[in-house]
Amino acid sequence: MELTFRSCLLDEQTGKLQLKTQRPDVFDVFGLKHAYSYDSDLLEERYLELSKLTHPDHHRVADEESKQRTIKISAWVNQSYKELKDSLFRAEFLLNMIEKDNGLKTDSKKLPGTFLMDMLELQEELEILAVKLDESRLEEIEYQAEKFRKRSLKEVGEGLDLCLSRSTVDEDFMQELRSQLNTVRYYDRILGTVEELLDKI
Amino acid sequence: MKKDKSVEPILGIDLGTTNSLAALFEDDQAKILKNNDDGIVPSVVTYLENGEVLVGREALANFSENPENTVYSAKRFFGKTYTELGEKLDRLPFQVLGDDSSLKFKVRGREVAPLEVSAEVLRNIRERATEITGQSLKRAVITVPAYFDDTQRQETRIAAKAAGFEVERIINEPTAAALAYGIDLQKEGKIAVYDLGGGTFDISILELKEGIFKVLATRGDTFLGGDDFDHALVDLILEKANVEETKIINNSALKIALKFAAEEVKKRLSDKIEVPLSIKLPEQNFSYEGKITRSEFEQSIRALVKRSLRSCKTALKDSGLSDDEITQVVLVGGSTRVPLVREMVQDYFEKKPYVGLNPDEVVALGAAVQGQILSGGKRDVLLLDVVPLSLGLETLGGAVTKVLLRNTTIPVSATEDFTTSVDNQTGIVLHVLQGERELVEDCRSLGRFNVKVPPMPAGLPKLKVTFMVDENGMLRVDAFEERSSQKASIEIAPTIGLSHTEMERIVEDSIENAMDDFQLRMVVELRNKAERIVVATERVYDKAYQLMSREHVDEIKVWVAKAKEALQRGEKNQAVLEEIVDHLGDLTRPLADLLFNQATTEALVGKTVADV
Repeated sequence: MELTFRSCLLDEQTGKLQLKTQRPDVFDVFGLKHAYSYDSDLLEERYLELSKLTHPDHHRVADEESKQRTIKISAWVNQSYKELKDSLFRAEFLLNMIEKDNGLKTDSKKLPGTFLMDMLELQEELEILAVKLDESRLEEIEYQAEKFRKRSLKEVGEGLDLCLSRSTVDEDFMQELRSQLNTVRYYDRILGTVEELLDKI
Repeated sequence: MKKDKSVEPILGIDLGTTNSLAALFEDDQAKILKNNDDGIVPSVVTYLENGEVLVGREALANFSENPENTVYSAKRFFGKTYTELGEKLDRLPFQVLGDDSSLKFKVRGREVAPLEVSAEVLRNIRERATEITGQSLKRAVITVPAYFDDTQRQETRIAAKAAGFEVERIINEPTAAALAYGIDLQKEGKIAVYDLGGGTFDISILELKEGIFKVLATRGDTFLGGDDFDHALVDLILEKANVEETKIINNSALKIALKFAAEEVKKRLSDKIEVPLSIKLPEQNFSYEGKITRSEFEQSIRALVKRSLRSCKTALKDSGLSDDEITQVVLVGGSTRVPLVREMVQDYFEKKPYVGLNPDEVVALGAAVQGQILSGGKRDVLLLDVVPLSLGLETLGGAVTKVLLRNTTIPVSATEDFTTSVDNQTGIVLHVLQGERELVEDCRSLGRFNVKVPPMPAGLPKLKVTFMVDENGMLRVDAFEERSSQKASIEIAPTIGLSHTEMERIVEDSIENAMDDFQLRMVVELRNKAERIVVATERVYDKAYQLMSREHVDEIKVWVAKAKEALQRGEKNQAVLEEIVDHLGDLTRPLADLLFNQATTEALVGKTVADV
């Protein structure tokens, strides 16, 4: 496959950094194919190469306009790298992309049926723990939530990669992935609360 | 012809709490600038009665005569207010003033900001650099503790500006150290830099790969360092001497004597199990005769070292690495010479720290490396630094919404959407904050600005706020209201407990005075020299008549008289003084030679030389 990742940011003819009106998408910046699972060594290699190409310290320019352009492009590279390494960001990005490409619209609030019941119970327990501050129980919840979060995200990722490898996409399946992804956000909220409570101890 | 600025070398400066030093990249390596010494300028400033300022060793040599007018560790006060520090100030021999928004030292009846003290140290460094290299070096990379917030960084910038420097970059001390070490080691890997200096502690985790130094995480404590070890030792000495702590509170001379005695004991305990200690200060009604053992010292500082390890734990967590992924632990800062520190760090990382470079020099060396990168002279190395502390905005109920999280690689930009909470609000105040805590009152306020919005129902305005941090770590906040296309932006220049005019005055005064100061110093040196010659010559007139022609001695007498006259009237003209000193020097040199020869001969025939 012809990789054009440098050309997203660099005008190959003049060798100058070019500023586009729109930031290239995170996968395009590094010339990686649109997929949840990615080659982290390749990303690392490309990130370092782009950093050398774009970092303002290696482009000490005099005029203010070129300077601002260099900073902005370098910021794109850093931001893209950070986002691409963030599993939740990748999943959400790809899910939205597939929906858009296929003209689908899923319910962004929906959660899997039994999940909500379990969470209500957990919420109640957390309210009690907010007063009781039981460290070992909080740590147990933290451990479990982290485990479930990771598992959900992995399942969504696998589902997304499956969709991306097929020519047609099933709307119900997409909704399932969306709901599953929403549980990840839910776990994040719980983990935030738990952390706050643990900090209090 | 326009001078090409980019080829002027950039000085690397470690502006330390206790010691400062400078380095320059030459012949493909960074070297500490030394003037037949170790290159270290103690960060100590003494204000004399006649308005003169002594810096470094000169100040240290004179502190006992000026305990209230000698300021040390000024860097610890950057970004702090009097109220914040409270009782910690009791221990200091110099007077600290201020309120909940400011902090100043009172020396010789005038108020001096901490950054003005540091500016004196930096000016001294600039003069030394000029002396050593023979060229005026104006551009500098200056290091700060990684955990310094924007206010403290800003103070450092202003201090440097006041000392006549153009600040090319402020970089973090542990990062600078990693640059120096990385180049020294020539090895890729994941490095933990444990930096315990005189006043601050930093831990940074970096990854070195293909010449790129990527900072993964950084954490620290801006009020933990060797100074605290000294204080612990002072407490120990007081306890052993059976002296109540309250007794020293109003005694500057005793405070400063104990502080420097403690520092000395601490240093010696690095390679001795115990050191005898004898402090006799009859005037202060204090005496102690005994010893301090290493284990006593270690017991008194163990909790402090533990505190640093807690920061290590968070940094490691932030970096996403596990303990065993760290390939190298390096120690930076004079306080890492303390054996207990080495031992506890080694236990924590389960790795023997690498100490190949001098911990006092490594930060300045790294700053010089970064200086070389910035001057375009080093293309094979690149430093990817991070924002050390999260940046955010105040939202409803005094909460802080983080826009940029700590440890994000710079340059970086991030955008968040905000809206109004009240109907027909005509403006939105953006309150920019720095820190990890959830509430506004626990974070550092960096500034506020107002964005106008046309009156609309609550929740309807769409305000896009973009935080942009450039490669210098400087934050710029842009706001854009989409429905009305209203724009506003600010470059964040944090308030530092000084008014804007006050800050300008400091910078302007010092730039104007820099030249005068330098000349004044020359004049003072010449006067001292003239005085020394006069005193030495007058003592040997009798001998002189025996050894040389009457005419020559009379000529000497004429010039001695001229010198005395000049000294008496307080001659300020450098040229006049130079003429006198040069002339007297030339005239008395043959006399000195003759006296020396005579003294040796007399000694050989068994006479004493004492009367020569």
